[in-house]
This record gives sequence, structure tokens and C-alpha cells, in this order.
Amino acid sequence: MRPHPGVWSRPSRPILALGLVGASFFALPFVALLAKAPWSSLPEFVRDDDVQSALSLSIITSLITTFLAVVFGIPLAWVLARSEIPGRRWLRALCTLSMVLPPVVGGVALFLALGRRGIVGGPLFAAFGVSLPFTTSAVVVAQLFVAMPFLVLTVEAALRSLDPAKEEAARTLGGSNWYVFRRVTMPSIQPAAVSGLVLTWARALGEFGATITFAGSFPGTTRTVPLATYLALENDLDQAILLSLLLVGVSFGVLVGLRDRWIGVAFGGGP
Amino acid sequence: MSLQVEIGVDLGDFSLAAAFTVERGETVALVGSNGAGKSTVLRAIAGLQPVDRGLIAFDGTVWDDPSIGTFVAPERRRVGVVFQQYLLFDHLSALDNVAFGLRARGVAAGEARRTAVDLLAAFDISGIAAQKPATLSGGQAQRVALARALAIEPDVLLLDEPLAALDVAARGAVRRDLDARLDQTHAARIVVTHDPVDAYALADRVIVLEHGCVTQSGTMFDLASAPRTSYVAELLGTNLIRGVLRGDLLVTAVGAELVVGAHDLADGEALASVRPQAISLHRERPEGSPRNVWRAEILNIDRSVDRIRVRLGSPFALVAEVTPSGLAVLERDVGDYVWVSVKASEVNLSAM
Repeated sequence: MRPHPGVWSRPSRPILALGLVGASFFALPFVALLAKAPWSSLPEFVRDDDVQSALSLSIITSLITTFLAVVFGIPLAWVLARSEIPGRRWLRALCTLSMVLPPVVGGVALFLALGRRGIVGGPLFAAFGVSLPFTTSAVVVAQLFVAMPFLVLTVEAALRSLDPAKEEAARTLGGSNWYVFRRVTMPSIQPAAVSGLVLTWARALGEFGATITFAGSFPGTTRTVPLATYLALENDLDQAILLSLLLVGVSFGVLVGLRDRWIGVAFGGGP
Repeated sequence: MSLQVEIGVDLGDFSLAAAFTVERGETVALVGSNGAGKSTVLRAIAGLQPVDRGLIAFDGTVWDDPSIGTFVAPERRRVGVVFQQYLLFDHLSALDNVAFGLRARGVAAGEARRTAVDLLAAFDISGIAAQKPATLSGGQAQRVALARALAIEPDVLLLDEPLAALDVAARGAVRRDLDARLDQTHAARIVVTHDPVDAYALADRVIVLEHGCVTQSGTMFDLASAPRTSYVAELLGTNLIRGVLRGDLLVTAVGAELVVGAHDLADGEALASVRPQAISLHRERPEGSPRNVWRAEILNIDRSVDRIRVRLGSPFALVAEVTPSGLAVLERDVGDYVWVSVKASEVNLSAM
């Protein structure tokens, strides 16, 4: 929303100065990344096997995560928004806890639940010999744990603001619950769902803490771009900078692509 | 062949208890003030509000009866609903809105679209088939909503304030159009309204709902002649005369003429309303200014509320309201003739 033109559109100098300090605080790191970027080693960077495998692993795992988030997250959002189960508020808090939790804590918790000696992972290993940690699947599990709340919250907010009268109208026309959900509910919340989807994907792509704790950092199987960036910092600063720029570019693209409107929808803000 | 409604619904501290039947091919107006329970009745019939007590059945098939644990889901009743705000699906074209019910009931896409195309043509709105609801006028949206409800060939058709969303200028034409289209359907029809003109023009019969109870039912003339509550007397107990307007004369189907007050309507079909209080009864032919004077037989005298209503015979079926002392002075009873006068300025017109 444009600020209302008038006396408040020209802030006083102290406010302006402090605001600009805040803005430059955000701008400076990116300026530094761009300034220090070793553009001459870019061709070599692009051809690098480690970079390529980290990149393709990141893309594949984050897309699988996004897909799984849709499959489980949209029904979960529907339950949180529409059902009248007891303790729904606690359930919502639980389902969004991982957004504010340090990701490394999430990784530890996943390890205790799904690790080879975990409360679910233990019996699973005993029965089928399946062990989840330190596999590509573990990368997806870690990403899903941290990223799915973005989709759940956006879709839940959209479902809450949707007037159920249109769904009722569809029922009277002969639509079953499922038909009405597909043909009326989903199209109505589509902008919010898309925005939640993209945010979820971006969060999954940038996931670090839970991944390195639960899945480790094995080249080709669990070393995603954020992990590769952290490791490159030790021995190849140039590569770390270029990997960082790659992630910055993707994130920035997501924000520009969604624009204010969809972010507003996502967090119940907007004009 | 009828819709049977005998329901009790509790919503917080509001309680509804209503019983009535509607035949196939009949239009019933459900009239009442805000909060009387009209919408709750419609929602119960459509299956959007399960009832707490009683029964809803159509042609002997039970749709809702908590005592035997029967509840038929809304999508399995054949009830077409035209909602007050129309509730068209914004993301679908007018054509796909009309085809929605058929698709939902498993009709193949091609066939559903062909039926919808035919319906839009029958409603004279083929030109807007591809348009989204946001681009339609109120009258067009109303027709799409009606076509969408009729596409499923409903057994019961419910219309919730179908004209309320329209501006006054569009209302007359849409009302006439709606009346003609309702007559072509074979469904049992219920129109919720609080406009006596709508009830008179669209419905065969009126059911009055007040504070969750049916207080009276009958034809508009029945209600005007013998209102049982002051709500009926004040809102619905007005005289409505259908005729053809020629200048300042309204000519009825039997050729009787009524001089009307100042108006800006074009010649053509019109509806005149005359308040019962505006009709004067006299023993002798009155002198003076009234331009409408005639003799009529007293058919009935009703003293049911705190007022007396006198029902008059031809040439106009009218109801006059008089005070007890006025009736005493008149010295006339049922079967006698009286002189009737109405000032032209008391005859109010609306377009049909």
C-alpha cells in the first residue's frame, strides 16, 4: 500500500537517519558478497562436480519436500481451519513450532524420533533394517519438518477468510465434499496456496541446521547447497561466495515473484 | 407430489417451529421480518441446517427426520437454491457456473456444457456465456444464478430474496421475467421476501413467519382481508390491483377503471397498491373531490385484530379498514351495498 501523501510522508530527520541505518544493515552483507565475488572463477565454479551435485541434490530434495508439504499440509490446514476437534489451538501451535525453533533442535528431535535408536526409528530398523539418518530421505524429512508450516499457515489463513456460503451453494448443486473442495475451495484459495508453496520451497532450499544434524553432510547424498557453502568457507572462500550468491539470487527472485500482495495474503496482512 | 415441512430448529436462544406443505408447480412466498427464521427454513430444506425436531420429506421420501436418524446430504437432495447474493463461482465463466451442478452430478463435460448453452439461450443471456461473474450486471447475475439452480432439474426450488440485490430500476423487469420463468418449472417453489409486491407478483400463496412461528398463511387477498397479526396487517394487508396503465387510468382485466395519482411510469402493465385505511365507505354517494367512486357489496367483515377490515366485491376486490365507530355509523352488514371512494393520490403504482 502506498503511504498516504501528506505530512506523514516526510519523516523527520532522526527517524529518516535511523531508518537508513537499518536499511543499510540489510544491504551491506549483499553488497559485500557482490563486491568480493570472484567473477573470473565463475566458469570453473559452474563446471565444478561438487557444486553441480550439491545443486542438483538441493533442487531435487526441495521439490520433493514441496510436493509432500502439499499432500500433507493442505489437509492439515483444512483441519486447523475448519474442523472442530478439541485442542485445535494447541495443535496449531505444535504444527508451527518448527518455524521458530532453532533448526538444530529440530534435527536433534528428529534424530531421537527417527534415528536408529529412536522411538519410531528403532523398531523400524529392528523390523525392516531401514535406517533413515544420513540418507537423502533424511534431507527431505529435515526440510519438511522446518518448511511445511509456511504452507500450512498460509493455506489455513486463506481457508479461514473464505466465506463458506459458496461451498454450501456448491453442495446444493450436487457437489460431494471432495468435489466441492477441488472445484470451489481450492480455486478460491489458490493465490494463498501458491504463495505458501513458494515460501515452503524457498525455506526447504535454504535448510541447514536440521539437515546437517539429522542427515549429515555426505557429498552426493546429503550435502545440499547450504551445507556445501558452509564447508567451502573452510578451504575455498571463492566457492562459498558464489554458492551464497546463488542462494541469495533464488531467495530474492522468490520475493520479487511473490510481490507484496502474496506475502500479504500469506501472513494475513495486506492493505 | 409435495414438499412437506414440519420442523423445529434451535439456534442459541432462537427457536424455530414451522409446518407447511408446498405442491409441485406451486409458488409459496415465505414472508417475515429480519430474524423471523426465513433463511433457517430454507437452509433446513436445502440440507445446510439439520433440524432438531420434526420432518422434511418430498413425495414421501424423508430428507431429514432426527427421530429415525435420517439425514440426506444436500448434494443428494434435488433442491435448487438461488441465494440472496447469488453466490456465483468467481473463478468460473457464466457457462461453467450453470454447468457446475450437472458436472457435480457426474454428467460428462460435453453434455453438461451443451445443456448449459441451451439454458443460457433460454434465459436470453447467451452473449455473456464466457464472462466471469464479476463482470455481470445484477439482472444478468440473477439469471445465471436461476439458470444454475434450474440446470439440475430440482424437485424443490428455493429463492432467497431474489430481487433484493437489484436496484429499484431493474427490479420490475427482472420480477416479471422471474415470474414467467417460475411458471415454466415443475418444482415446488419457495420465495423468501419481505416485499408485498414480490409476494403478490410471484407467489400463489403466502406463509407468514414471525419470531420463528407461522402466524398466518393464505392468498394475499386472504391476508389483507383478515390479518391475524399487526405485522400482517401493516406490511402485507395492502390492496394490490393488477392492470394496464393508460395515462392516469389503470384498467383491470374486467375493464374496471381506477384513476391513479401522479406517476412517471410509461403505459403498460402496472401494479397499483391502495392502503385499506385510504378506502372510505359511505351510506350515500359522497360529494367532493375523490375521483374514484363506486358501489360495491360487502362480502365479509373481519374484527380479528384491533381494527375492522371490510372485504368488498366487484368491480375491485378490495379491503377497507374502518374504525368500530365508523362501522356503526355506516349501518351496513355483509351482503349490503356501500359507496366506496378512493382519492387518486392514494393509488400508488409500481411497474410490473
